[in-house]
Amino acid sequence: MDQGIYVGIDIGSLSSEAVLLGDEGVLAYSITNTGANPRRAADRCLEDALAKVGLDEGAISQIVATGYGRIRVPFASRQMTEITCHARGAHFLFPRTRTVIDIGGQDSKVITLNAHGAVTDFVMNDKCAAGTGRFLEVMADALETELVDMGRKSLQAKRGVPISSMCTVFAESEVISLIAEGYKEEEIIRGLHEAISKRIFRMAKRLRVQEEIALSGGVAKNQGIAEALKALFRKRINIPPEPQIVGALGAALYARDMALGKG
Amino acid sequence: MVSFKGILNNLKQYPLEQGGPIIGWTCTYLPLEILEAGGLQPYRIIPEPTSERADSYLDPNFCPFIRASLGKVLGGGYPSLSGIVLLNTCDGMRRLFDAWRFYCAPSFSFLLDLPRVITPSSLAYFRERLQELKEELERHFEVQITQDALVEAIEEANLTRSLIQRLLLLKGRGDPPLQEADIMDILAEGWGSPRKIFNEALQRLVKELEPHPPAPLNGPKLLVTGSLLEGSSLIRLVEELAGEVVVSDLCTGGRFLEEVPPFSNPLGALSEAYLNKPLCARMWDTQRRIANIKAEISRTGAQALIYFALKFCDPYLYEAPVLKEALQEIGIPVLFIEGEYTGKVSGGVRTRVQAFLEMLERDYG
Repeated sequence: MDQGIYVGIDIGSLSSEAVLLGDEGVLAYSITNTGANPRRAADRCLEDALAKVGLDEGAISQIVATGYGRIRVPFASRQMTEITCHARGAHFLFPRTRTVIDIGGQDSKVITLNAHGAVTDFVMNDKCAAGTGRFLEVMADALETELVDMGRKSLQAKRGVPISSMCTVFAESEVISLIAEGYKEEEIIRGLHEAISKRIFRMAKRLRVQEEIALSGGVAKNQGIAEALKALFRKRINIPPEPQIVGALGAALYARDMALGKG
Repeated sequence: MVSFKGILNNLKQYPLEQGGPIIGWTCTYLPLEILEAGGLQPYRIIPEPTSERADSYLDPNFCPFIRASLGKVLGGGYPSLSGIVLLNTCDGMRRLFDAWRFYCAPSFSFLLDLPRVITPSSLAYFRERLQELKEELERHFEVQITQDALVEAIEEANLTRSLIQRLLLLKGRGDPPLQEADIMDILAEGWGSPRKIFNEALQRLVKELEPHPPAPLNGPKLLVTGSLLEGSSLIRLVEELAGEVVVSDLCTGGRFLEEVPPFSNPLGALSEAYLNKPLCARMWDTQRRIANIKAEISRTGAQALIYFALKFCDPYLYEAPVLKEALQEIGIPVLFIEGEYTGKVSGGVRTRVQAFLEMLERDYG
């Protein structure tokens, strides 16, 4: 019998991901910018992932779409929210996960789950850019540094400069004043990471946060944020090898359930 | 579903203004029966969700309903109104009353003081305030609000409430099936219709739906509580995503559907029934509100609760965490939504509602 191919597609506000799952595990994945056309992004990331393993669409058994653009993926047989999918994906990677912190491009969420990977509660911030990947992008521009270098640089600072304003626009001008006052770039970056992490921590406090914690979303690639979160939560925090694909992985797992008649 | 609006419009033979002077109101603690007994036509003030004119006076972090209302007032208000009766439910509402008198100078305006506690003395006090409202209306509009007229108005309003109760029992019938969002739309039609015509239309709808076979709705059962919703779009979204809303305990939903019991003194009966109706978070006794909601959960078999608070609505925002904790203790999950007054549902709200329903299907279903 041929191996089943189960696909999860996560159309986020900034990036889109596709994960191809086989019966034995992840076969391939791809990450692309969403851009202005979520539907085209869905096509593109699926094609890229298929090309990596030399398969075509005919091989696919089932597709589940997730993310804010999930309703724009016409070829998916089911749409599920990123909340349910992040929980499932994180539970697959780290079965002892009971809390997921997802920091995406334009929102952030904290999800609690049970031993089976099912969501028990969640809280979501999608009202303001503070506490999201977008906040870091704006600050990287203000500091004339690369986003990917921010994590490493912040770990070089002994302390962070307190950032008082958490509004993206005001924090940007605060950062510019701090540069003018002569603070080190590394200390400012560390201060920004601490400010974002505190915001996430306060939001998480509305839920019953339990160990273990898993991070997901692009911002989890920033070690500085991960360290700041660890210091606040004082709990074990797992970071997946590729945190951006956790939602798409969860969707692929639900696609597999559906194909096997479990969904 | 048969178009309720169609039935109602066919019955309306004259514009609302010809049914007597129109009195604008905002709070469901106002016994409309008193107005109706004086031949006055109540009209619920639900302003369009725009507030451009108000933006110069109130920052965006003020209650969006008050902002929209002030916007309406600054734009000239409602020319067809002969008066307004508002309640001092919150600071925003009190100041709206002031602004309304200042900018629109309605010929009749009355601010009804609503107690927060429910005790024998507050009941007596509320009854006195209703007496005062009745006398002011009589003096200004040169009408007599007799005991007989009050009794008749209460009976007619009781009929509305019992007809809505009957409609609730017909949910799931018809094609498309009658759901809670339709009930909310029907209630909204009632806010701008003469009561007798509204009742007649309700009776016709009940008659049309009753022969349909009972058709149970299958989704997870949900109770929705909270403040004021502009339109029914949030409830409709929940129902589209296959949740079954069993109760809409909202200021604009079916919060008060009990009949005013038989009485010898109509004003006393009204003050007692209205002050004791299922509580709004603005009232004092949170524990009593929690007990009401728990009772509704066991009566309806609801599996979960959606808590909706209008942005910056202090009474509800302060209550939400207490209620969430009390319900989680008895195994009822709670989704908290803080919303705009726009009549539209944002992508973020859709994601929250859908995720909550997915959670119920997987874990609690």
